[in-house]
Amino acid sequence: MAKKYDTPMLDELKKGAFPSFITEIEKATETADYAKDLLGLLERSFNEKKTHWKHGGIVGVRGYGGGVIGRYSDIPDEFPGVAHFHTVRVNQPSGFFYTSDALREICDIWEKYGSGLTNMHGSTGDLVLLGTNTESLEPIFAELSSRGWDLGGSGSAMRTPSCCVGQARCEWANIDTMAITNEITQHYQDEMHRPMFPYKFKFKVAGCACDCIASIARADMSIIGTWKGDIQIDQKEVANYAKGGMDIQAEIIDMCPTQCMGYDGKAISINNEHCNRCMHCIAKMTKALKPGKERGATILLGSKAPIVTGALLSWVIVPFMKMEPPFEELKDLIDRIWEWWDEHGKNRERVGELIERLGFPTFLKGVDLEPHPAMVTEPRRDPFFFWSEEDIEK
Amino acid sequence: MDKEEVKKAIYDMIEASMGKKKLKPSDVMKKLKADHGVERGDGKAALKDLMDAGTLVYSYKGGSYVELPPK
Ligand code: HEM
Ligand code: HEM
Ligand code: SF4
Ligand code: SF4
Repeated sequence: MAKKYDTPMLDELKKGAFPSFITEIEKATETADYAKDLLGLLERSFNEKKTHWKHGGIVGVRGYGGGVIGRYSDIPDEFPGVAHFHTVRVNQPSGFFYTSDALREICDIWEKYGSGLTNMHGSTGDLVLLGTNTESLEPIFAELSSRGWDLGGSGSAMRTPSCCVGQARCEWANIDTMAITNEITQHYQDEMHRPMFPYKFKFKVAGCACDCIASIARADMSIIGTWKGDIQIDQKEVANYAKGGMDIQAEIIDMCPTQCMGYDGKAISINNEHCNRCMHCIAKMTKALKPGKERGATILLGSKAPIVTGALLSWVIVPFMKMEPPFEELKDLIDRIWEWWDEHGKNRERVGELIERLGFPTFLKGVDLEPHPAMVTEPRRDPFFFWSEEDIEK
Repeated sequence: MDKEEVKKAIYDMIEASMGKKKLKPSDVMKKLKADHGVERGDGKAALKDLMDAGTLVYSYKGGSYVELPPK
């Protein structure tokens, strides 16, 4: 296949053992013209050390305030294939489960109307289709929705909620992450498609503190599975781990962050009052240790990436909430938080930033929550001390 | 106000805002409440109608705004 542009810089990125996005984009030149000009534009940007994208304008299809991210080349005369190169966000199924048929369906639609390029999944969670023009948006939406798909969120709206695989695949899940995600998605359709908030609002649901979906760092509201009561211990299995060569003292007991575990060479003991349910011991000794019997979630609020102010991690606002359909207690809390944020938030102010500005006590009063010792902003630390490489004993 | 009147109030508000300071959906709701005593839920329902009919559109510039469709 003849190349439309000479791309020596991009060709460097095809070398080496790892998969190359350049190789993949080159493959996509076979199905549509977008990719050829995409490569040309990128080579140009690398040479000039300057982006040639601009954004804005289009945001969705009729009635929708989100789901499409408008992208345009700022030199469309030279690269007409990417004069428009909009991104389409498609709401992914909870837990990212697809049949191969569903994937083919999406890809066929995308090859027909778009560039054929996708980066499944974006960090938003959505199934992200990269590159199409304005005229194709309504036809794509019509085809997607006639097959039961819908767009995801963008703009000042609820973003497409996402979750870890939860009980579908993982024995550590304390809550049905997929059911919660599905319920939030369905219940708040208007909040997702019709932007009404001061800024974006993200949900991510993790089944346990391992937090495979990184909800604590990436969601305005992080819902993380946990338990009440004592960790269940099977001492026979503890003995098996020891027999199998595990150094229980070093790998488990000494690494418990709250130092609440003991091991006498035969049995493990846990001072459960001091356990912070970090999942370390359970993840290491899955056959011997299980979470306590009463399951639910810790609700945290506030994380975001740095934009105006620095990055935030979510902090606890409800230490333990039962998580059973139809999740009324959760929805009630969400409604109260949105109402308070809407009332007081400035344009482009995330809920975590608003809490920092007005203070946590004001927030608690505003949404009618009781203060609790678990509500710490961050563990104690000294930000002026840093270890250097030499200080670290390896 | 009935729904048609609320829709007209929203449309007029957006029309007057064109070329000036853009209005966010929440600005529209606050103004509806202040000027006409319209509750949020009624305002949202009216805005939804206007969007579904394509009479108004959303736009994005660092945040979401309500505008007249481009000519
Ligand atoms: C020898 C005298 C003092 C000692 C040993 C001392 C020790 C401490 C300690 C350990 C804390 C931290 C508590 C915590 O958050 O864990 C603290 C907090 C604080 N101390 Fe003192 N303190 C002394 C004198 C003072 C004086 C004289 C003032 C004011 C005039 C003061 C004002 C504060 C304030 C405002 C905080 C709270 C900081 C916060 O918001 O967390 N301290 N002090
Ligand atoms: C009007 C005078 C003072 C004001 C307004 C004041 C205010 C504060 C504030 C706001 C903090 C909080 C730091 C944090 O965010 O954790 C703090 C910490 C602290 N202040 Fe003061 N302070 C005053 C006088 C003093 C004096 C005279 C002393 C000592 C004799 C003192 C000792 C401390 C100590 C030790 C801490 C650190 C506590 C910790 O470990 O968290 N302060 N102060
Ligand atoms: S977050 Fe926990 S429950 Fe979810 S997949 Fe990871 S380990 Fe399993
Ligand atoms: S879950 Fe974490 S804090 Fe709790 S006992 Fe295990 S290692 Fe310790």
